[in-house]
Amino acid sequence: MDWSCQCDFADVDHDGDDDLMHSSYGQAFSGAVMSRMFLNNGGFFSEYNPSAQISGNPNIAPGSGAGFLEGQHQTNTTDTTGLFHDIANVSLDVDFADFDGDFDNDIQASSRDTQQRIFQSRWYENGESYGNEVATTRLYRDVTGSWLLGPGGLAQLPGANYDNDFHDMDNDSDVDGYFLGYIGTQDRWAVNDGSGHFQSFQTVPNSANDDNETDWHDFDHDGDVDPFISAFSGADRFYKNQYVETSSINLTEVQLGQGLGVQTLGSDMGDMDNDGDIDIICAEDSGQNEVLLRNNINVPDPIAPRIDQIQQLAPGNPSSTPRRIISRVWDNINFEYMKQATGTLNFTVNGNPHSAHAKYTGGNLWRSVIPGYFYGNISYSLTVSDRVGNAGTSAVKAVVIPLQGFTTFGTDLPGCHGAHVLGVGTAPTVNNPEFSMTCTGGPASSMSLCLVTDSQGRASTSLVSESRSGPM
Amino acid sequence: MIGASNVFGLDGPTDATGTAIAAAAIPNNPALAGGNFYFQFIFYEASW
Repeated sequence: MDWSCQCDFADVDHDGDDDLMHSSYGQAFSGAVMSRMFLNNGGFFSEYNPSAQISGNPNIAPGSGAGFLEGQHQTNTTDTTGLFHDIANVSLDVDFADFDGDFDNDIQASSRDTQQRIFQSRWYENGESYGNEVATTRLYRDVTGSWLLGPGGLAQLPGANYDNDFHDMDNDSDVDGYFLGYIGTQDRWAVNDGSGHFQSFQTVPNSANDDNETDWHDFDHDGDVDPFISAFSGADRFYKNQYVETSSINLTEVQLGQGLGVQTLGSDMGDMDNDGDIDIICAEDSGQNEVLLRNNINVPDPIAPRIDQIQQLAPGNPSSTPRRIISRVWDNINFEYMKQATGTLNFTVNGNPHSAHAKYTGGNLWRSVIPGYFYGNISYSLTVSDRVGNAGTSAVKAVVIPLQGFTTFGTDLPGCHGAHVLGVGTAPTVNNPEFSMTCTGGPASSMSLCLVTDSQGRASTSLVSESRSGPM
Repeated sequence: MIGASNVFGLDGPTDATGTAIAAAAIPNNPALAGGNFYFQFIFYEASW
């Protein structure tokens, strides 16, 4: 049993499907019920709880190892070594993003009344695995003590931390944040030093209000993201991020729109009228009508997605396992809407072009794969096109996969007489849609037919299901 | 191969250097495990 206000999805174990982070604020906002993680296994979710310890019902006790975080539960811990964590907060919002820039999704959990938390994904630190109970490693570690409270950070005394939202506010390719009700009811924004540490907390002007949610968009199409505040008390607010104009974020409230919501529980961004700009719809409390804010800039968003980091593949042998490539992608809209974009991995194998679908995988990350059976000189790049067609492309990366699994049978003589067995190759161990036989020394620019039978002289239907077989 | 009762034919046109490539996609079928398959190229060449 729990008390949840929000969840978020991301592919935390890099298997290509979306897993679930399920926050809890506890009975009567007690902050005593653990948040949980559920892994998606082919459409069925199961809790990731490697210790198999069970929380008390409903509250978790200090010292418990239940849940997805390394170590034991300790309220308000600042330990960052993995010995202790705080898995039970007044969490009304949880967000995935790659805060430390290592191509996996970390977690930030708000807490209305206590220290909010930040959890580092240990996927790569664990050697691309969940971790090992014997080695006391798990998929996530509580790093609040250094990422939020470290040098340059700011301890919070929240009273209304109902929501946070994350994006690259200064276009320097890391995830910055807007923290609602960070001290009392006053909002703060902070930048990331590139390794996950939030610093330089700044007060947001005119934000000492009872607000409920914040969302990123770019109302003026200048290429930096601006926060929109859903206010539970008083009118919703727009702020302008001045980074593009002044090289300083310096959030400034701007008066935009009429008929703004005045008791808003939450808002969402999207192009409601298909004119290419982002509109806002606001959900109102207390029986009031919802509010649709139509952006009257009335020209399509001109800003293309930015892909400034794409994983470098490591050299290795041909494999039955696809080669996974994670990229960090930004666009001038919140992550929730960015997944409406279309991603394509373009790659060449020894100069021959191929492409593969790329998938939004939570936070600011996209995932794509190259089949593992390819070998030779492989180069690749990711292109993401937003909903109005602006396309951004990453740098081109290259990797060399050594030749393996390739057999040369030898040289035969032309003609129909005599034995023509040249050699035997081992069977491929993986399905391979690109497999082919090559014969050289034939007549130039001519036709040939490659005949295939099994050991019984039959056209095995298990090999190819084409209809071009027939009796000799 | 000549005595086979049934064969697959895979197109493999040659390029200017006389190289023919016949694509034979290997499906994800466990029945293929341990099987032997025999391949032979037959070329058409004009007599003039």
